[in-house]
Amino acid sequence: MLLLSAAADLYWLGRYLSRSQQLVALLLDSLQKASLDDLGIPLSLTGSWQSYYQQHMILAEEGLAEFFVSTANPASLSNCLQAMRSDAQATRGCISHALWLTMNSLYLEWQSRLAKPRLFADNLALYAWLQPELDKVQQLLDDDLANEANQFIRMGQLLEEIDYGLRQHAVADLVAPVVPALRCDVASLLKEVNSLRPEQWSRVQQTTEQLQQAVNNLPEAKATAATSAVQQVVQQFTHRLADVFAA
Amino acid sequence: MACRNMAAQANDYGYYPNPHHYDEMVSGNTTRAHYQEVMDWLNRTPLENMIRSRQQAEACFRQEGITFTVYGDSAGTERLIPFDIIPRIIPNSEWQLLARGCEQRVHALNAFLHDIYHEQKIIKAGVVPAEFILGNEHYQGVMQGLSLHNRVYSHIAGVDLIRHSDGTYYVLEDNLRTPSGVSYMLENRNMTERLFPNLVANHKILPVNHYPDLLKQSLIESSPKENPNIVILTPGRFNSAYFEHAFLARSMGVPLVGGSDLVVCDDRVFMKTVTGLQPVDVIYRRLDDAFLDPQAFRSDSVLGVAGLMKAYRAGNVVLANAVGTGVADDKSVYPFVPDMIRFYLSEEPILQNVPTWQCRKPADLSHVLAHLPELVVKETQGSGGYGMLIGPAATEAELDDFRARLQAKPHAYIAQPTLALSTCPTFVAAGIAPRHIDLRPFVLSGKTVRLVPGGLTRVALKAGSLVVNSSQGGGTKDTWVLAED
Repeated sequence: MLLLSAAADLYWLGRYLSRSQQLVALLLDSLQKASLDDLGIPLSLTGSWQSYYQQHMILAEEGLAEFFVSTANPASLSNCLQAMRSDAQATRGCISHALWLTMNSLYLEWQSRLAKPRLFADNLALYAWLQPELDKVQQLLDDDLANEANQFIRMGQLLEEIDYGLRQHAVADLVAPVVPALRCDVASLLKEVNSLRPEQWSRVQQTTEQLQQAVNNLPEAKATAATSAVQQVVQQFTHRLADVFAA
Repeated sequence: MACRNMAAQANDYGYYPNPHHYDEMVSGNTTRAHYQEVMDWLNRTPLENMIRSRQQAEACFRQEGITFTVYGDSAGTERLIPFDIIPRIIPNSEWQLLARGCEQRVHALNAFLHDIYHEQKIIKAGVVPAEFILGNEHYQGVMQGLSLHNRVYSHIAGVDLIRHSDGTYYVLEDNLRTPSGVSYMLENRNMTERLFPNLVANHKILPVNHYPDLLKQSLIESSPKENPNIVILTPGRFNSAYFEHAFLARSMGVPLVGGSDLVVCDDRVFMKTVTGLQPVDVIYRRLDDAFLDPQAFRSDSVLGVAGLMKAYRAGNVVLANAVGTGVADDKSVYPFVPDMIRFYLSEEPILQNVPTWQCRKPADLSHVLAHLPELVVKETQGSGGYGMLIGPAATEAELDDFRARLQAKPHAYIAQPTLALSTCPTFVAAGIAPRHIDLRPFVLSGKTVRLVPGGLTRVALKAGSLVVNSSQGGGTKDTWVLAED
């Protein structure tokens, strides 16, 4: 029997896991390309330009690499991993022992590496270490699909991917075929949500169907108004979900 | 400094317990028979191996998240409880006596709790003064007249035992509210089996890993229902014992809930799940009484469940342990437990109390004030080793401060002689050294009383220290009860 509060923590665990996965892949890509345009993409996608310039004078690879490690940046990997671990700790009675061990070990090792003095190369190495560690967590989830707890982690991951896809779609400089992937993610999310009891989850189910319609109508080419409209439906989805969790 | 050459007749780096204390491993120059194998192992194990094993244990505990939150710790919220890799060993015959004694004691305490919340015969008989019970902070009037299934109030009890220099075990205190530590007992055993499988295999040790099954069975038996729904109620992950709450929930396969996960409708308790409200029949609560129900107790509690006491008094939910058990593990009631055994069971106590002076009595207070540097003084409402004075280790200023406190509120204190807790070989920075220990067996009361062999051995890691509580830097050891002497 999965508690609503545990489901909420698991959902957010999924969101932070996905966020960490996307962010580390993006950072590795941006830092390896290292043009100014590429360096700006993580800041655009996380909405953290202002925060960056409060801590760094110029846009440079060293500053960017440090910014997304620093706990002073709310959007950093450190904060994502801490939130993910907190949610895992709160739900360690529901998730598998292997999943808890893997996430806790990842977090402890991250903390240990963070405590050492770091230059740019060290931060790059930190990201390169993190990526396969997050893959291990993902593998454990993929290997245990029947677990009720993992269903809510998957929902969180799917929503985060949808949200990320929409942000990519909204950034003019990014050329990425995200709409087909978005439609796929929304279809998966709808399948997960529709497996829940309608007596309790009907409003969430209805909003997910609205989200599907909105994403299906999203043009392949970037269109700010259309993207914005879909993002609003995503917001409504998160509110409906929060209402059920808080019941 | 090597672990080799451990025998007392060897060089200056041997193991030298204080001859005035009872040492669990050696008696004079002789190794006790049940420790011979461990002694031989310590003698042949290089120091670097011991260090490596300890580091391995720490890394495992950290990875598992077996941590403890220390109140007021500014360095961080999570710490490891130090685990000492050298086990504490108890011969079978000793354990049989301890087990019988603990069962007897908890049986009497449950009878006492039933009595004081019903006919109060023990008060009418003049055995325990009324004001000790009715004026006790933990006495709960809401429990008066409430009938509990099997007449069990404390379903899970922890009895703290120490061994004095004469080799006799004494009961230091009873814990009938929310005794903790059993998860460390289980994890310590797992760790020892992992680190030293050969050493474990060379001893016939009674198992402890069935504790969660026994606990679940006791909780099932606490309810008149056939297949009750059981939950563990936790104050949350910032509580010092959260690891244990989560561990037990996972081990028993029951939900771990916070107060906000439960709701009371029509005097029945439900939990909020993803499939709707599900009934709850038994709550193993790890919350103090005061925080259980904001409608019945502290109105500012956000940890409890509004209306829970109504459901409880209606008989629709079991609380383990029951409300109001604190009156029986209060230090001011402790001196009367041997009398309870005689009164309710018509038996002589198998385990003795530590001699205790009750400072509320003028004659006792005079004695305590006159001998303060020799005594251990405790708050009657205290726990976790906080708020106590260890006279022999106290400074003049600390003694003066305590004298003032005693004179201001004598009823709030008891005093006991400074007992020479037994020592046990412990792997400390300087090598193997004797450190003071105690023992907490866990007693489960359902239709029958059950114990797993041993319990949690706590060890004071500082040389000469008598404070074993983990909240104040104490550690734990794996506790072995041998299958035969």
